[in-house]
Amino acid sequence: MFSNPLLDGLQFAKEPAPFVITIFGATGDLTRKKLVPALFSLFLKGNISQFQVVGFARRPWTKESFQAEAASMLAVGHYAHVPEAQKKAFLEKLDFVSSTFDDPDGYARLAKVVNAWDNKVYYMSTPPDDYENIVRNLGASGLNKSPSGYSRVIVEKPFGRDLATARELNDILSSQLEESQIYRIDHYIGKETVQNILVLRFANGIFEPLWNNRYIDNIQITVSEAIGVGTRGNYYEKSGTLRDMVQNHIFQIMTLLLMEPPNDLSPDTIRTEKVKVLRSLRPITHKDVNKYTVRGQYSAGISQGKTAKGYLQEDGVSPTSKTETFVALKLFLDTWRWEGVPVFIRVGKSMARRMSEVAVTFKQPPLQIFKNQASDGGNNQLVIHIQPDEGVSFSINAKIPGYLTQVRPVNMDFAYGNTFGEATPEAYERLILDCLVGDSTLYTRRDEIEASWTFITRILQGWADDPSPLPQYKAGSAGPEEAKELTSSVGVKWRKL
Amino acid sequence: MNRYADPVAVEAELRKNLQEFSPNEARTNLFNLVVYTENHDDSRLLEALNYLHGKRPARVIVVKRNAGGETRTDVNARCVTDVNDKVLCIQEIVISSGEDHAGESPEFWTPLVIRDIPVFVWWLSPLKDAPVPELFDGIADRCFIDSRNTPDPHSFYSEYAKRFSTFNTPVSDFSWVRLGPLLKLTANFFNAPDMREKLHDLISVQFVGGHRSEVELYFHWLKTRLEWEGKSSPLGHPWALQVGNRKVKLSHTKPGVLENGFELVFQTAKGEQLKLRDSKEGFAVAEGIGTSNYTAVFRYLSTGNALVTEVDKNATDRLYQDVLGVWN
Repeated sequence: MFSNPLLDGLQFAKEPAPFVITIFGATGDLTRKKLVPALFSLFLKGNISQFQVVGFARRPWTKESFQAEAASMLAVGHYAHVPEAQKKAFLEKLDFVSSTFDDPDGYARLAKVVNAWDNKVYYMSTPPDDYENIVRNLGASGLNKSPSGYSRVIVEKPFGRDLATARELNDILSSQLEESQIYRIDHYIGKETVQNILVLRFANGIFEPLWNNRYIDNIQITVSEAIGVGTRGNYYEKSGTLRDMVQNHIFQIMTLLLMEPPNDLSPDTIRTEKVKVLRSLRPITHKDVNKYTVRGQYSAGISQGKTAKGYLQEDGVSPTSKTETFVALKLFLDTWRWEGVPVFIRVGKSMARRMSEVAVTFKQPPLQIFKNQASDGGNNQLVIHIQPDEGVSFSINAKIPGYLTQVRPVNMDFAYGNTFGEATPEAYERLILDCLVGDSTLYTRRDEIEASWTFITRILQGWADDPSPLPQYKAGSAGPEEAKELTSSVGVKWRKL
Repeated sequence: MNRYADPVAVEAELRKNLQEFSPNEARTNLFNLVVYTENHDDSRLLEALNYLHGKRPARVIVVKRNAGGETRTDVNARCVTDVNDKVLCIQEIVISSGEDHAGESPEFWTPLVIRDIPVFVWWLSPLKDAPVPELFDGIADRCFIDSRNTPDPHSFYSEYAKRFSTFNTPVSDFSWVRLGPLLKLTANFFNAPDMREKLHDLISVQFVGGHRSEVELYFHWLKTRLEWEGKSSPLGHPWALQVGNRKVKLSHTKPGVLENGFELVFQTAKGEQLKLRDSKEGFAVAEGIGTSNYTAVFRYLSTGNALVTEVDKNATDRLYQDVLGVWN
């Protein structure tokens, strides 16, 4: 085999080989709002050029109607002004196969289209109940393999409802696919600010020496939404906040924040470190579930200046529902680095504002020599703002000008928006491109999924056996009062929303 | 404003200008860019600053050489509000260096740069006019040149390569940066297993189109990567190189502007001819045995692209160093 020395020293952007992507459930909302716009954006930026997009769904659409639907998807927002010729060039690459997910004939027709390509990606944009049919039929029709290229499957969340169902789903996928072919997507980790956690920690020499229980007092991760479940009541009734947000998005953020430094940036090195974090979480046992967790459900109130319904009044929600719309957790990691550092997680719907952030609070100096310092000690805080106003701020204490030595906290701010003018790529763009070039770093591995479900399932079981009523919080508030006890028990306050 | 710029007055005027655009917005400047130019309306400068505007907030100091009359300083701010309602600004300080040439001296503008962020000097003037980057040692973090700005790239590089190892300030050459997509295209073109064999069997490469500075760099890149030995010649004269017992001829025809199109013709010892050319539709296409259906996305870099690419880096490109390190 001859070498190619011309490649040495060249830095390549991600440039995938020619491919075909099949979207199962292509008539759904995800395709309309995220997938087609993401593929079009990659096309416009020149990241992809030789490809085909095949929609696969039950509705009796045709190639032409899929193209017409896609054209309407690209007629709004910032794509509205893209020249028609460019849209046309993209739309011509769209095809459609109308079939149920269990009909072998549909897969035979799909094979005729996709077998013209060496590299195949299948995107599961369907409810999880359909995964089994799709995967088995891909296997039966031989589409799960591509001898002269690759065959990869992107799987959307929810990935299971608990440990047992996640394992079952993994087994179904593994029956037809190698682990290296499976890309479990979590769009949250595709966000620039989430990826910036790694850069902040490991590209800056000042943080790592302080990143341990000697200097860090506590960590708070908050993801709050200002709106309620809206039209997703049916879905939410089956999931709840712990499953919908914590098991996936929040744990992704938490593992990046707490993992040991990886030796390199290879997908498996990073994912192995993340799994170690999940396995180090101190289990919340049945009897301790109310000591370390608080659930809540929003009641009617005022949110964003308008009256807001309570959860039980939302469409598709049972009037006796015990589904949680708020979760607060106090977690500990049993490791040398993190022993004794509480990690607080707070996630909820219909809260005071839409906001996602990670706040790392450092310990106070061993001796307070400034008597006029703020009563809470003015701990230094490093805050990673995930949304909105992506950026990082660091609070330090400074002297107020004057004859007295008065101290108050001030912020050093870095805001993405004021620093880089380019729009950050949509999470789906980045993640789809990663799959096309075979980079699974930002996708979730089987053991990672199962480790997170192992932890979460214990909490779910504890809650299932708890007869006490669900604490309520008013829409537009910061969550139930009970959540304050989680932090106050160790002398900490939640950050203001 | 006075003949010689008062830094305090410049800052005050900039503040006033910025206040008009966006009274309450906190701004972050990422770097200072000092541009030396002969031509007051240099289209490359205008294109680059327009491209930079809205992408990277910066302080840009334009030194207009040989502006005539008295040396003077003007300030201006350009801001743009993006889709997220964030304001990004370029602060512009224009020094028109008059008959006394005072404005060209680094001492004139160093008090005007923002401290603690990088200072990039872009020498858009003829390269023969000053020793760049040596003139800016200790002042600039990096210098940008463009070897297109020399009438005789072969002589320029022969002399420049000798000085290169002594530079204290890292340099980026926009001719090299512009060449980046073509280097990647060539490397990818020869990456398929059957094509790799041909790569090691080449006996001639013909570059049709392109500026002499870029073609000279391209040939030197091939030469260093493929370990071809021998001396280069001024373009217009074929290069006669050797690897083992095999002779390799490199030639450049129809010099022009790279962005106007190119064709690369590769010949192997077995008599095969492979062609790689710009389709002019955002793609590169190939002809020849084993290249059927080969198309690849190919986009030229504008000067603005090159500038934004380079201000995000903090060192000289290693490959460029390799190429200049063995120049002969």
